[in-house]
This record gives sequence, structure tokens and C-alpha cells, in this order.
Amino acid sequence: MRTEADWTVLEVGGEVDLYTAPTLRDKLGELIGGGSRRILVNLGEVGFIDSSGLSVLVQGKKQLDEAAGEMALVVHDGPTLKVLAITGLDKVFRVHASVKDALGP
Amino acid sequence: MTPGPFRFEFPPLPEYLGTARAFVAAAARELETSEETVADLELAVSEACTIAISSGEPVRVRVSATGSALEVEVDLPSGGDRLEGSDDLEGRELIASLFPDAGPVAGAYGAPVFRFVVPLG
Repeated sequence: MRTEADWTVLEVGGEVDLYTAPTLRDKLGELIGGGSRRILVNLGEVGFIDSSGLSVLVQGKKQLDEAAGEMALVVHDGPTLKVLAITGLDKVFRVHASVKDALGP
Repeated sequence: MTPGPFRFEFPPLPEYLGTARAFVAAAARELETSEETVADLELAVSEACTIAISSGEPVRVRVSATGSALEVEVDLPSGGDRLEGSDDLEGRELIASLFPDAGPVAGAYGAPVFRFVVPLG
């Protein structure tokens, strides 16, 4: 986790499923509870994510939206992009190809 | 050569989901399916096993090949009906998007299963 251009970047790696999603939920909860309002979730190192992981992201985004914040995603992996497209979440989240691209110049 | 059938049974605990995915991916790669198909199967099986886990009974995954198709089944032991309407809707939608005919359908012994069929060759 780091802060850049008033975005908090949350690095996520490995596999996100029913087993590991609670860790992601706790981490997001910690950040939001700690006052982060703009969270960029970097899924670049995620090898697998299913609906359990996506649900956590959607819940986090909802919390941030209600607090006038925002959440965006970094995804460059084919399967992760595909699951976002299938669920329509690529329209719900702003999705960037890299952290650099997300944070701008 | 037609490998399998292969069976994997695990306790209804989320920490086994990764192993279930690895099991199915290894079988699919053995049959030289594309990496995109492997990824689809991993996702669909993960969702199916997540739903099956909520029944609280051991989860069974079966992989078999007929020569023209790879077939993966995930049992929904006795919880198939009860699971309808639970909060796994997104998982079911994902399964239906990837494998529209996956069910749940009736398995060999009448109990509901998710069945994923991938043509080979």
C-alpha cells in the first residue's frame, strides 16, 4: 500500500476467492476506516479472481461512493479483464492498464 | 489415449478451492485445451465449488474425457434446491455466461450437478 497523487494504491496478488476474499475485504475496510477516499486497487499481480473477490470490490466501491470517494482498478491480465467484462463490472469501475496510466502525468 | 476419469473430493472448506482449480486445470492441460478454456474452467469450477461448499457436505469434482469432449462435473449434494435463491447469484450468472448448458442438471444418480463440457480437437 502507498499513497500517490492523493490515491491510495492497494497492491493485490495471488488468487482471490472465497478463502482469500476476506483478507481483501479487511484491508479495504482498514483503508476506508483510516480515511482513504480514493483507492486504486492494483490487480496486476492477481492470477485468479472469482465472484467472491469481485463482491468485495463492489462493496468497497459502494462504501467509497457513499463517502464521496472513488475506487478504480488496474488490470492488464486477460482472464481478469474477461471476468470483469462478463459481469459488466468493466462498466462500473474505471479500469486502467497500469498504475502509471491511472495516476496520470 | 483417453485419460481419466479423475475424481477429487474435499471437505466443504474454502481453503480447498485453489486445489480444486489446480486439479481441473491440470486435467484440461493434459488434454491440450487452450489456455483460455483452462481459465474458463477454473473460474466456472471455482464458482460451482463455492456454491457446493455452502451445502456443508464434502464436495466432489469429476473430470472425464470421451475422446471428443472433456467433461467436468461438480456435485451439489442434496443442497441443490436449498441453494436456489441464496446469495450466490453472481456466481451462477458467471457460470451461465461461460457455460450456458452447465445447469444444475441431473447427474448420473439423479442428484444435481454442474456439468461443464468442452469439445476437444
